[in-house]
Amino acid sequence: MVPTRVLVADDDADMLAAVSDALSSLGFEVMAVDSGAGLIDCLATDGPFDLLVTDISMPWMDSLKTLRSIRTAGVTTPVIVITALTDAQIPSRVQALGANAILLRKPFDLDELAAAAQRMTAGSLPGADQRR
Amino acid sequence: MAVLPFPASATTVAVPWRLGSIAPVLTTALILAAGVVLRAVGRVAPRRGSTAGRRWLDKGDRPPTITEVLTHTHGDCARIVLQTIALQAQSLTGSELAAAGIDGDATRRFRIWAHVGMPPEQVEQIGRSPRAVGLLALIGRENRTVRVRDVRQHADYRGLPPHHPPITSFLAVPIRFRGDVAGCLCLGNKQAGGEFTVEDQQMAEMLAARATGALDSAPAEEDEANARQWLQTVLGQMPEGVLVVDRHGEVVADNEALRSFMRAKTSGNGRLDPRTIEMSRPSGDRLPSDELPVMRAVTDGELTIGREFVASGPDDRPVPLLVSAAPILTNAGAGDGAVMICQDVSTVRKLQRVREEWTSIVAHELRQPISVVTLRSSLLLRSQLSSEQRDSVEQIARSIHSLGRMVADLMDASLLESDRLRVTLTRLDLGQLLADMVRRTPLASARLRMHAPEDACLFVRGDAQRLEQVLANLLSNAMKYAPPESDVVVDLGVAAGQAHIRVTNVGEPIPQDELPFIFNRFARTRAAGASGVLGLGLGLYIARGLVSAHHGRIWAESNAADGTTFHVTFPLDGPAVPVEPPIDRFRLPAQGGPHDSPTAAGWS
Repeated sequence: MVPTRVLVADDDADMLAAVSDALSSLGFEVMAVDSGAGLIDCLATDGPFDLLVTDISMPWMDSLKTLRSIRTAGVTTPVIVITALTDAQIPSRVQALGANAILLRKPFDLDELAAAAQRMTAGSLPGADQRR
Repeated sequence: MAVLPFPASATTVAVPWRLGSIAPVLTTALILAAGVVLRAVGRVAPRRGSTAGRRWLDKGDRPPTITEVLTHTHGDCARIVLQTIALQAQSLTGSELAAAGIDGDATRRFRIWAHVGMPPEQVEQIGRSPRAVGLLALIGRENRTVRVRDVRQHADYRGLPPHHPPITSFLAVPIRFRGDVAGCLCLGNKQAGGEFTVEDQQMAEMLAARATGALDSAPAEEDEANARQWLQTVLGQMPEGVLVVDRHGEVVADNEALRSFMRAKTSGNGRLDPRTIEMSRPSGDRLPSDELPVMRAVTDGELTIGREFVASGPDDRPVPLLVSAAPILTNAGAGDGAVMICQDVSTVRKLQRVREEWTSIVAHELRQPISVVTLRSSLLLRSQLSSEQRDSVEQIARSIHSLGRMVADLMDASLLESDRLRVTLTRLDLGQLLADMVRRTPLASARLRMHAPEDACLFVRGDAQRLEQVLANLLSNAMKYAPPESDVVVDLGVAAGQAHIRVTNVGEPIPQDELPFIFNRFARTRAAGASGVLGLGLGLYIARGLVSAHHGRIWAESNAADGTTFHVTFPLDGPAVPVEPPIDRFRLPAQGGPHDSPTAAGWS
């Protein structure tokens, strides 16, 4: 069985490692990057992925802008947006990414991450190319 | 003093200083600065015993008494000054009632007694000013401030006159004339059931000193022009903008501060024309001239406390203002004009933005390591651990969960304080919400007993996540303070046309003297402190804010016989919807109180 591939992006090294380890423990195949630019680069060179898990606040370009660009380019990979920010506009900005995007507020535990990942990958074929 | 808060329909009361706690501090600084300036120029400084340069009417060496000064100064001018100061005191301290009185003793009623916060008809029912007896006598006798959590418990309390609204928290400071007590500034019922703080006391004492300075500089000659000039000088020295109108809405006096941030034309007599004042609501809607708070105070007796407006400044710059206005009433309650006080809060706004950014950054930076520890500890708990290691990791997980909760509470409290907490209201089945919530949380223990209508659904308009937060807080508190093995009972029903939730636990009651304050920010009962229960004392403060955002009400009752019950009510979104057949999610009958059902069998 082909493992479900997940790309994780967070500029905080400890958080990136913790989320990556958590997803690995749940059975996902994980790749990790530490910037929005890395996210785009990895999608182009190492994709496809079944799930993106990304922090919002990253240097140079926040991930919501990155994701909007990715969506515009036709990539519809499900995404879990994780954030510790409290801006009132964030839920609507995540919603604007489509039905296969959800917001997970920090701090979250393993069960919450597992539930979100399960919800976003349910029904998808691991490793299936979701680019159009 | 007096005041039942005005009926809701006739009152516009915003929580004072929701711009944040820095606003009173700024105002304090302004008052202090004004005091320094006044003393420097020597215009209103209380120079005890100094009579140089004054001509006393009695032509002798004896300085005039306060009674004589009031006679010369014209009572209406002195009343305006006291009314202005009482309104400032009410606005700055967040009290429901304020009054400033001078020239009275145990046998003579106060000659001037300026009310703020009590509807004119209620003042009229009381019909007269008080005498200096009981606590008011104590202030005069001992020449000191009285600040108490519950005035009814004070040994010198002698009750209130008929028709006077009840008073709990109380603060009174002496107003002096030539060093002797001539009157007092009284404040009653700190808003939201709180008690007056040391900062409130300092504020009131400074305002009373302002009144003292004004009286000491009162004209010694019986001349109306002098009296008007005196009034103008006193108002001119106030740092806030002040506008006083007579019973016809014509401007009697204003000051330079008002003109510095409010554009308006002047009429032939040099006074502002209130009809040309340009003021808008924060939404941008321009206020018609008859809707100005000062005009509403004259025409409807409406009280406005600490409400935000935006004025068009002289240079067309929008100036954010915090506005208070109150009718001027005679001792017998007759309308005699109104006073409006405006404070430029541009600086406060800037500081508020800085503080919000700071809070947001701190919360963000704290959540990051909390997230890492939370994830790492839950990963560790999935691995092979010895019993001791597992205990340690579970302890880490519990502690980091508490820390995360505290950061979330601090953020919510900050949002509430700055009036930025938003709820998204949708139609919700309250019983279903309770059932879902309890099923999802570890609180759904065998100790929880539920009572709810089985044959009807109660719908409210609410934010499911926020309502869960309120109820989870109440359940968590009840579990914490109930004796082990005792039940916590949740009742859902309808009372007075509202959805009514009661959460009850038996055990040590909350002391009556602590009960009015448990919804205050950072409130911790003595029992909580002694028991070592962790927490910031923000849970109930946030719960009250969230309930209020849902147009609901929350309160608590506690006694040794019945235990502690928290009540929450929400407006129903339409009538109860019958369910056929009855829902069996509760095993309990729809009727009955929390302790009268021997068949209570818990959550199904």
